[in-house]
Amino acid sequence: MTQTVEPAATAVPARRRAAEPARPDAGRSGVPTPAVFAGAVALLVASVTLAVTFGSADLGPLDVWRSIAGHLGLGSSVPGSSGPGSSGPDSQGLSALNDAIVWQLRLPRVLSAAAVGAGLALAGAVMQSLTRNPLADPYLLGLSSGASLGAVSVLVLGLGVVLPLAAFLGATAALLATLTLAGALGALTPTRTVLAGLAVGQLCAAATSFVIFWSATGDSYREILSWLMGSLGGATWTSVVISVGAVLVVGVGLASTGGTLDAFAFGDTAAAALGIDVRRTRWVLLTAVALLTGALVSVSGSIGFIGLILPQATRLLVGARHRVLLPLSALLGATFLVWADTAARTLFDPRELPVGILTAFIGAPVFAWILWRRRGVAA
Amino acid sequence: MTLQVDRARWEVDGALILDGVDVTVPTGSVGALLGPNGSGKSSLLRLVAGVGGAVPSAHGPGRTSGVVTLAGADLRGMRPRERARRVALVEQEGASDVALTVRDVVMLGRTPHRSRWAPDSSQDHAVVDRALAAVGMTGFARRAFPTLSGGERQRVQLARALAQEPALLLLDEPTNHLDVQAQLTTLDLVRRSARAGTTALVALHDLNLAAAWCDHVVLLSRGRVAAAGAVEEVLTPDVIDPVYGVRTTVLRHPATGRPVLTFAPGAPAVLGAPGVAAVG
Repeated sequence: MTQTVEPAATAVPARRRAAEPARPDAGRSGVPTPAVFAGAVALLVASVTLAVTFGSADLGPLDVWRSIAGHLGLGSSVPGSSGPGSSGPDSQGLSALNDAIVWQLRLPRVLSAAAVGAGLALAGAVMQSLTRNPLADPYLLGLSSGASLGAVSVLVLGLGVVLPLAAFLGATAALLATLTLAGALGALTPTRTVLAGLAVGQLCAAATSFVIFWSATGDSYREILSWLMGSLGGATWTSVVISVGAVLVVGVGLASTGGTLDAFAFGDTAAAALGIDVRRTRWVLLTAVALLTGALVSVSGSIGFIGLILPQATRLLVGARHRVLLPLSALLGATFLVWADTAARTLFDPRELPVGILTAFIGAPVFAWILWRRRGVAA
Repeated sequence: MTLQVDRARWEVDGALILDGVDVTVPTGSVGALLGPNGSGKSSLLRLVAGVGGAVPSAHGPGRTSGVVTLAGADLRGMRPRERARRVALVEQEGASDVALTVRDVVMLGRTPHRSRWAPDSSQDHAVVDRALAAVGMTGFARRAFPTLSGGERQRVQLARALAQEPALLLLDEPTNHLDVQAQLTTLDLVRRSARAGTTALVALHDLNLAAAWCDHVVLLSRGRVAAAGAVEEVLTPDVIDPVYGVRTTVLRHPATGRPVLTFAPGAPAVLGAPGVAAVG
């Protein structure tokens, strides 16, 4: 009895073994998805912790958590609450200065960087899928510049309260302008869309510079640079609330549309035939992207290429299924910008680079590589 | 389930792409949609699939009208999701550069059947397994879609359509760019799914494939029905010659007895002429 079963039981795996190695496998890394996510989350938490320790003060990862725990009321290590010993550099407590560096200076900046990186990567991934355009990115299509213009305009008018809203309106207007201009040139091909985005982006950047120049009271060049190239130098806890809030509210909503975006893999007609309301989906998601971009740019200025690099890299890692791609792009985008910003503020210490310069150094070659890969495809 | 199309009309910028087209495909049969380039085959399939207005052409989506029913239910009035559970469309060979595995592509067919946030259920996996098996692609499940040959891609798209568990299967020139064997495999799959109850309407260029594999033929010419009926009635020189501008000779297949058509150059198609009166 067992003898007759055995050959049949082994036959199937044997055939599978024979059939599979000969073919290029699309399983990519072969690592199960939950492990990939756990790894990405761990990487982000470790990056945030380490990034806070980078800089002039001598801080260790434990100090970071001690400060966080103290401020969240989870420990007794906040200076002033742990007795007279806390003013000195003892092994238990954290000096008031170091605590302030962690809690007031570095942590808001690092958390803002994480949120902005996550949101921009997500926005890029969604745009690339919706427009079937591997070059789509909030920066390249002019959204970021439009958001900057919106933000700067209300700052000049002294209406800082509505900053994120104005940035959203700017991003939306820029997106509409780009798509209208590209559509007027003919079918919405990737190249035409990027060219239209370039025109709109440059116009918005010029207008932003003009508004600042015309109204500035202090160092207008620095201010122009931080809006056009992006900077997290001014990040406060308000920045954290805006950027993390936008990522949690809009970003999580976007990240959960993976199943819908997958249906666009073979184009609009195929998506419609799978029961997707193509027009409605496109407008809802593009509006959400503009909203997210607006909120992030109001915090950081327009940091380029993150929406281009991260989704591309993540796709190489885990394939194009959006249910995995979207959340993972966001996690990796967060980690990426945390490190890019850390490099921007420490590489040439005490001088600080606008972080957009670093992301452009990495992003422009990626852009060129995508163009090169598409060289056979018509404009 | 019987597909019934009445007075389908599609107007873009004053030009009629479809002009009062009537089509009937009975339950479990395979209907062929024939006609020269630009006669409206793809447009009719898109109108039936309800994807016509979704894709703006250079001149906007235009205006469509007409009644499309499947087993009496009005397809055009349905919500897209509802319709996608009954009707599956396999387009002409589309994008091949998507970084998805074969299994991922077939899983797309489950989209209209599950909630947006639900993960793939065991039922979804079972349906996908069956669809892959039906088209003989089980061993390819983990392959990257772009690495497949044209015929293999077509079979995967067919499996994706079958995973939608449709009552009506629409195929737009599914044999284009396929070698002879792949052409036969594809049509054999359509035939078999029809036997299992899925009505099919297939746009074809090759009249002989229609003659060999289909039950009914609808011949379109310039957006109108030039002829419709059984294969034997429509695929005749009287009907074919004026529409395609050829001289047709109809032979008999020695084994199957089905018509085999050969062509010689003839008078150019009478472009302005109204369609030939419907046969049958």
